[in-house]
Amino acid sequence: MLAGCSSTLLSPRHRLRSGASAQFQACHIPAMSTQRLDLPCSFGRKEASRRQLVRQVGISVDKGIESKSSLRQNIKLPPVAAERRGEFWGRSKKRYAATDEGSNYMSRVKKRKSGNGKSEEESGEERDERGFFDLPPLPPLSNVPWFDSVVTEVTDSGMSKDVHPHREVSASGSSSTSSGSHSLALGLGSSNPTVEREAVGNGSSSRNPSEVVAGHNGSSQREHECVELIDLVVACVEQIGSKNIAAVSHCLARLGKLASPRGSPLHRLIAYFTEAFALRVARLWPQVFHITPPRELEHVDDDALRVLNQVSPITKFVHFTCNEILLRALEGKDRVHIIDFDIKQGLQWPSLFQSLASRASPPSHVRITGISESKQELMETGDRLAGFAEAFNLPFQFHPVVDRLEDVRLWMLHVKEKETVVVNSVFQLHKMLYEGSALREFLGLIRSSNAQVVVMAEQEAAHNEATFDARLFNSLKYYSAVYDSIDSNLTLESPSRMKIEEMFGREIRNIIGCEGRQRFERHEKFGKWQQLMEQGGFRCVGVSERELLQGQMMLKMYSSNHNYRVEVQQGSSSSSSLTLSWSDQPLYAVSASPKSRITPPLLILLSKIHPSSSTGTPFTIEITLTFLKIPSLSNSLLSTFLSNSLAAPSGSESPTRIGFLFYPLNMISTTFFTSSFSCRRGFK
Amino acid sequence: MDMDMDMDMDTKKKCTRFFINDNMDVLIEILKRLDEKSIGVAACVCRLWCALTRNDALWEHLCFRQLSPPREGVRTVVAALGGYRRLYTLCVKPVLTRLGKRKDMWTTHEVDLSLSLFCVDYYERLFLAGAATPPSSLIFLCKAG
Repeated sequence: MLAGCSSTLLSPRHRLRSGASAQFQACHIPAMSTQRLDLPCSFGRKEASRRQLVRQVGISVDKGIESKSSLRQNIKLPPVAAERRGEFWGRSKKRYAATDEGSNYMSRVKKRKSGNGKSEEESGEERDERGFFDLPPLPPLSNVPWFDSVVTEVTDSGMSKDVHPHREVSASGSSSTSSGSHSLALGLGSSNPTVEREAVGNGSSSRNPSEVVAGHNGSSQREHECVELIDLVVACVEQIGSKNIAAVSHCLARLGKLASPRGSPLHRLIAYFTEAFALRVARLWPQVFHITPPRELEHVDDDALRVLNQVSPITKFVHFTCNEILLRALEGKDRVHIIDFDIKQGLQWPSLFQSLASRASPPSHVRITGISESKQELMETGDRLAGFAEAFNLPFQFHPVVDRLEDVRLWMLHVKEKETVVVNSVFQLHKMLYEGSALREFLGLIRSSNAQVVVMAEQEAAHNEATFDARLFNSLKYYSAVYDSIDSNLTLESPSRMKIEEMFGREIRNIIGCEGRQRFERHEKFGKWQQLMEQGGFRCVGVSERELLQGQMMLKMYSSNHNYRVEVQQGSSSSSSLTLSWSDQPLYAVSASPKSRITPPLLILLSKIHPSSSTGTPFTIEITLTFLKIPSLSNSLLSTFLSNSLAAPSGSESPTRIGFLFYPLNMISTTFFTSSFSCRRGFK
Repeated sequence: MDMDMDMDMDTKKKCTRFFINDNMDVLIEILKRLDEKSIGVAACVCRLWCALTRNDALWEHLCFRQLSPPREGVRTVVAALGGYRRLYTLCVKPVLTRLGKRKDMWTTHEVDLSLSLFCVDYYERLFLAGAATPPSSLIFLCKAG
């Protein structure tokens, strides 16, 4: 029934674009199955053979090094492939020449391209050949019920007239598929019978003529897919930026068709990014797009963390490095108090307990304050840790705090006297970056608990850029490395892998799809964290040789260690963090920030400088502060801290000029300190 | 010649009267110097030897033999976690195999790492794991390296 319809399914817009490829339409076999109409804009159907080849991503039994073509290589691949196939690329280059986005991306991708482009392509081809086992083709993302409803009536665009007639057909088509397939897109096992893919008029971009030609060449067609996926992502970003709703829906449809959480690592990654895009456009234009969620998008899977711990050294790296740092900080201390933000299952603490108990003089008391949002888990963890400590005869006490990070107050933390307090935060601090003052207040809370050191582990990425595009490209790079690293340990088909990918997919969705207060995955790089911590009164210090050695030893345990690397990343002024990276892409960084010393009298002084507005006339206050400073305290740190404190809201008048004079401690007597500030009032 | 033969007979008599099973301290000293494969073989000799090889002190010696200074204070900890034999088979041996270290090149770093992994495993085994979810932290050590 579709045989005659193929040309009418093309919208005018795409007909214009596909003018050049009209010649290829003849070779396409029209779609035979009703399932193919579940998308409003139906183009770019590939031939059945090609689709089958693509979907048969095999279970590669032995993962040799040479058989892996990483995602990063795939992303690098497009320009390499392009230059080999100049004509193919030339057209798409022209298409993107006009857009800043595309050219930025291309130049960025080209910059990343390393000198051994040839070997990448070869390894890519090798991998494709190894991937061809006999497996039934997997259902695409587009068979999912929710995806059609993402693109609802586009009321005021010219395309709507063409979209509408498909809606009814697609509705019937999708209802038949949805009953048959439970493929809740990104996930869990689907029992869809094999779907025959037939090609319909290739109306998609004119840049894919060679896709048809290369139909018989499996490996290059795979590259074309990768290229197309990346191009689509870029196009989508550009169109979201230019608010071109129709084009956005077209892009999303196409992405949904191509990408699938059951394809190659790149397909999976792009599938999650597609979902994030869909979320974003649904939030941006809620009257146009809506998503009928087939599943719980915010569901947290505890099991995923357990599986991640099994296959990847990430968790152990983070835990063991943090423990090493803490051990050093707690050396010789008798009463120990650890405040752990988001303690989860407490997997970090057994080995710390063991190290503390094996010390020459074990601590006389260990207290842990665990903060989490789930009460039950917290109680269980507390019991477990208590049982564990009992085995060592270590006096132990656990304090649960069930609250969100920003609601934690000092009295909840059970800080007692004469205790050495340390703070441990694994992947939590970035959640406080949604607002300028939130992190400052949080660090203020930590300071008020008299913590000696803050040990933090964070994702080493710049996912908090102001511009959406920068965020997208950074996260694309980052998560492709992450997905690669999972790839090396688990086969493509394993459900554990899906769980882990799903977990990271949640992060992706938050980074890309959300804004403002709802976006809490605001990852920053170590340099930025160093500044933020300094502003909060904690100065980053360096990591020692021992942590580096332990991290490297840890990596050797894992069989795929040849791509993971642990190295020390130097920050400014003798601070450093220990970074875990996968093929040159840094993933996680652990650092320690002991309390930096600010003399308390300064704070009292500042609170007295409060301009009164009783006169009713605007005035400026010029404040000259002269105070004592410990020589080791850096001037810049002090200035930053003071300007931040003075910039805190204190009414409508803010100091316009702040000058600091620093005197070394041994020159000035203490009496000078209290009288040495002058306050001048003038009229504006 | 006669005298030599007499002496040989005497020494032979003396030798045959020395049963290793009667001199357990000598036996233990010998067993202490073996590697784990040989200890396993030795355990199959007789019941006495089997009992001796299960003695944790033997395995403690095996674990920390090469370390100088020797690790004090860990004994109670390890005993609480399941014993040195378990520590060795579960953690120390895979760690060393993976690192490609020979037995005389251990340092405290490897031991510490093994101990940490051992702790994690104990924690998981006793507290986190139900029947359905076996402890999984150390699965990566089980795979053929």
